[in-house]
Amino acid sequence: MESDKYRRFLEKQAEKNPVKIEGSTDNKGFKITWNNVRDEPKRGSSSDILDSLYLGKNMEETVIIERKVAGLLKDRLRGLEDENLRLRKRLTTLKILLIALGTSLLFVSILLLSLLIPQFRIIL
Amino acid sequence: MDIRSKILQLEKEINLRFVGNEEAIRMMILNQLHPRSTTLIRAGRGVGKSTLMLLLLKGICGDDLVVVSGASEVKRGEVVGRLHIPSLEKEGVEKVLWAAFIQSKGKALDEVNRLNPYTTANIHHLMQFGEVWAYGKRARVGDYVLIANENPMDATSFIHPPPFYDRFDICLFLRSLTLSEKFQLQEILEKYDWNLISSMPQVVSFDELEEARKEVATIELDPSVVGNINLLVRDFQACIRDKEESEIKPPALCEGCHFIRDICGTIREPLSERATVALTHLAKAAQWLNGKCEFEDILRMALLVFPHRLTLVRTRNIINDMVEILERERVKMADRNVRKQWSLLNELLKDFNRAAYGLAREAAIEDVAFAEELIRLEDQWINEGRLRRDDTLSTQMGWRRPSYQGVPF
Repeated sequence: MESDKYRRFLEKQAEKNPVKIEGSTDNKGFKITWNNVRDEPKRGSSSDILDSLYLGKNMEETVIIERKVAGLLKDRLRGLEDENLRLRKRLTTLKILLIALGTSLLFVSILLLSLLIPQFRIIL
Repeated sequence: MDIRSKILQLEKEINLRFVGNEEAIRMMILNQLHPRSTTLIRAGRGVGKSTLMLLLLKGICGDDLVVVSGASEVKRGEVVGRLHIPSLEKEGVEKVLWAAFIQSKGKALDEVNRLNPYTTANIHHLMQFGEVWAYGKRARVGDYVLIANENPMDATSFIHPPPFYDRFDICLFLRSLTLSEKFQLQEILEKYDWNLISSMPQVVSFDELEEARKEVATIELDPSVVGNINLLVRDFQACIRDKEESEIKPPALCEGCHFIRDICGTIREPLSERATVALTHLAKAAQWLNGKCEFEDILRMALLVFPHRLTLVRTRNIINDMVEILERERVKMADRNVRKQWSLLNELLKDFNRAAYGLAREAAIEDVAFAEELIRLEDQWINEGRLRRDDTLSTQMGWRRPSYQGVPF
């Protein structure tokens, strides 16, 4: 059961940023229109980049980004790079561990073989 | 002069005697416009915490104010009540004499960080239930104005429990004066004969304040304002990995999480619902006093409502950190409008639509609060046979609402 105020909030938001859904409710023959009537993002705002990121729209020739959005993207990139570096370090450690494990496994196998098959020791 | 003008006059009188910190004073005034208001002033030594506290109390309650100082040895009898010895000796009756602090309309707590835990527990009970207990007797406490101050850097502090601080509607942070402001202060001190508190007139009576509080309570906020408040608080609470119940807290909990770079990843202990109540009270007061309350106003209010109620993953300077997070919140709100996600949710609430659902899923990947709402609807659609569990966002992303045997808790 939805609260009446919650519904009113959503309706108000829908009035500000309307979408129009036409056609059938299944996956075929539908059309969604973004009716940007009142809140059309201003030219020069960060709408182009955000639309391309979130809505998959094609970017125009020139993309202008607000400083705040650029800062946010930069921050996210920095975070991803940090994460990348951290994972890379972990990968290197794991690789070294794997090589060490492989070498020791080989060594143990040779040792076992030499114990089980005395001729093998001779070959060695 | 009507009440609104008197409230504005009160702000003016305080500004005449207190240099700088205008925003803090404005918010402090707004916070008095709801019943049993509580304000915490947090600042370093000698910045004017006690002065500001007394100026406001004097402006509202005149002489009907009592200051309990944490710096002195405070006993329960002085804060709550003590036994009336003659009644006990002569009649064998336990009669409680309630302390002046309980009876006065204006309650001030100076250096609350130094208050002993027993006194703090009594005040906590007063703020929580509007009553006090002593010697098995209870006293109901009517409407009041409570202002406390503390210097958390003080070496002689008691560490009070977070729920105690949560009972304070707002927390003001005062700053020291700039060079030019110091000159201003000296002029003001000379003008008022070096006694700012005594010179402060009582601008409104407590009855008038109660009347104003009643008027403010009747204010109906715009659904967008209510929605923005709820959304803002939810953004400071939401966690797809349920940090509230988890023994492992961020940042360890966030490792590998899809939302690791989101606002939720910066908050260790989330907000309580009291933050929503405090913001709503302030928004109503702003609407009543100024005739408007925009999203920008709510963000500024949040700066005073949130810091004492949460713990950040990394804190360098709580105010600067909060400003940074609130700025990110502003961008987040704009992104939500660009994605038109609430319009999609509105459509989906009316009826399930696979096309709108597809777009809503994409939006949900960017927004925890929205994802929660969509996942809740997904459960409903699965029960109605409109959606298969395997096709849902919750299954594909591994996000689940807390539930047992399909029943949410």
